[in-house]
Amino acid sequence: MKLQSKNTFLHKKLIIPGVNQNLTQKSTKVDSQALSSPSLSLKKRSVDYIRFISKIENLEGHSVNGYKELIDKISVEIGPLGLPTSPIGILAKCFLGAPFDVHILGLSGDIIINHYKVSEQLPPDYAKARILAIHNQYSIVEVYNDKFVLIDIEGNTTNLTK
Amino acid sequence: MADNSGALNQINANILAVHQELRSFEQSTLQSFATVDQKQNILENELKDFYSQFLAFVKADLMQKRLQLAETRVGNLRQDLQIKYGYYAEIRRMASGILQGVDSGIISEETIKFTTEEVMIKAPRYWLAPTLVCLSSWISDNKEVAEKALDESLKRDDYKTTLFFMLTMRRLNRIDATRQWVERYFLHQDPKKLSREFILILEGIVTGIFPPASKTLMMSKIQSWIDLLVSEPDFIEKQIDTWIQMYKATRPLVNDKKYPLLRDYCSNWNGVEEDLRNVYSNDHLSVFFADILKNNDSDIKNITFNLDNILHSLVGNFDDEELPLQREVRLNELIVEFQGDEDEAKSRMQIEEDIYSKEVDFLRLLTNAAFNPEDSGASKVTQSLAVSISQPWILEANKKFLAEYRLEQQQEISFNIDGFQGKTQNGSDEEELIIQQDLYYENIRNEQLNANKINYWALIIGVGIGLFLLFSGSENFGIAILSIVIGVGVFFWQKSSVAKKRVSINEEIDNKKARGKEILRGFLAEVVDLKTELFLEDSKSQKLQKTIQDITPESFSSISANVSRNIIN
Repeated sequence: MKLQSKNTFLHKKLIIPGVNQNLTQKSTKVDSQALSSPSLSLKKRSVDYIRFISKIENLEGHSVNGYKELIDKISVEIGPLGLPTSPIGILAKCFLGAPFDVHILGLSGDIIINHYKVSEQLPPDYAKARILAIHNQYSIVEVYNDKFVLIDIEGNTTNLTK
Repeated sequence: MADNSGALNQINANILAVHQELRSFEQSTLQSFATVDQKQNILENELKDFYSQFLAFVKADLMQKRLQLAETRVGNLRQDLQIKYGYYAEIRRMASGILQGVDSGIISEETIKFTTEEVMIKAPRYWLAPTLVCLSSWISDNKEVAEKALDESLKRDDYKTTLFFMLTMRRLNRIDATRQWVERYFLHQDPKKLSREFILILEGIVTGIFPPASKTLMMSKIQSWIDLLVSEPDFIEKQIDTWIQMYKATRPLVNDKKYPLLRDYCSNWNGVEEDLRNVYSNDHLSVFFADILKNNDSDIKNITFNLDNILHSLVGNFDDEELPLQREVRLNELIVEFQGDEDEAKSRMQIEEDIYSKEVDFLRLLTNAAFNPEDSGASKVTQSLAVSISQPWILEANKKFLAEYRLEQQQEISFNIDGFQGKTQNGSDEEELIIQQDLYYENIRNEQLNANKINYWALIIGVGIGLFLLFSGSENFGIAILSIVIGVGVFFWQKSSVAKKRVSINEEIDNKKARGKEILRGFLAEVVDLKTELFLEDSKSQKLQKTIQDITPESFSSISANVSRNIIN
């Protein structure tokens, strides 16, 4: 006797207790993008942006007036400034050299740049991230109300809650 | 009067005698008490001994009775089983026979017997019965009966029927049928409570033992599970935390022989050691993840063997109905094995049951497969799958881990060398520290030298007393002279011993200073090395990130494609 192939065994609709019905309706498309969740990582920062911010030294003085280019660049990268979800400032290595180690680009209200010496304390919102801003693997630290976003030398972002 | 004194003496003597007697009486009484006390202690101990022996006897007796009871029960229960479910055992035997027949293509008389529905009636609740009817009807081309039997089988136990046909169709290479059964099997699965054999099925699909269409099905199913799970609160956070725990736990150790001076003299060595282990993790994890992506040949034979085992246990294991009775038999068998010790038997039984009843949730399955595949029964290919699915969380966890350990890194290295305490950032301030160290020792030297003084009091007192005596005109002229002589003598003796001590103090300080300087220099040199190593190892994080970013489902698919090719060839 020959063994014949059998095509269908399933005729009836299957109701299985205890299993989420919705599972049967999910799409069958396999997408590697979809395997990650949108809330997971912020958009990578462009190299252009990083380079621009790192060269703040070139902008003289403590007060930055009408630096439209600066504001534009930041807004394009992160979104409009002044919202509760916008950064309050950017902390970065200072290339002026000793005795300065970091500078802060303040973004809430007036745009200000302050350079800090090693011996000087940073404002409380920024203090914790000083070590990371100086670290060779990170280019800048965006400081928000509730978190820090560390930007590494390739633009990858890391969220760190305060 | 002489009479009286004689009588008195006599009375005294008598009283003394009585006194003596009382004394000795008292003594002997005390002795007796001591003896009694002693005897009581002995008795108490003996009683205690006896009591514990008695208890032991009672226990042993109890166990013996329990053992006998168990032996009898085993016999009775087995008989019971035979009466109630004896036929089930027959069905199971026949099932093995049919499977063999199906494999070899030889159909025997037995198979044809099973196309009757009598089988189903005799074991009204057993799912395996209609399953076999279906199978044998299908073999003998009896479509109508096959379909009816299948319906009945699904009614009795949908899950086991599905599992059975999925595995059987696979064995027979019925590609389309297999795919449909796989689909049904997945519908049965609740990602929160996956059945124990799920990992083996997953293995089979992933390694290509099941037809390729099943893999697409599986991936889309997994996708929907992930979508479901991701929507739960804190899900991602939990994933990230789990991976961070893994990174922390697998950090390599610092070699014992490294940094001997730091180990001995650094006050915050524990923190430094943590820093080193943290940076070591970068290289370690790079190797770990790169290894997973490598094309490893799966043990196809073993996986196939496992799949067949599932089928055999499905067919050979007791049905849910018989289970209570079977458990009682098992318990009593164990009691016999443990010589009547019921507690031991019960705990062993619990272990046996735990092994069979473990249900896992999908995430735990993934995590286990990714971290230690051997323990969870996963092969390298499943590990790759698990890692590629978890890739987003692996990456985020790694970035967070890096940020956290960089934040915690020791900014200063403190030391305590022979009491001289200080700190350095990167070992480059040797000159200033040596100066400070010198100062420290000079201070000690001065302190010690200052303390090493002649005590003039001896001289003053000696001479003072002497002079006083001389000028006060007392007769102790000799003592006066002596006093002065002693005072002066002590003074000169002190002078010489102070001088000697001075020399030894200076010598000791000079030695300590030289040694301290040597240690300090060596220490700072090690700090320089430490900083270099920390920098180098930390920078390897870039390579690690790249490796992780390269883990994608696409790269996974190419691995499994190779595996399938190997099977076909």
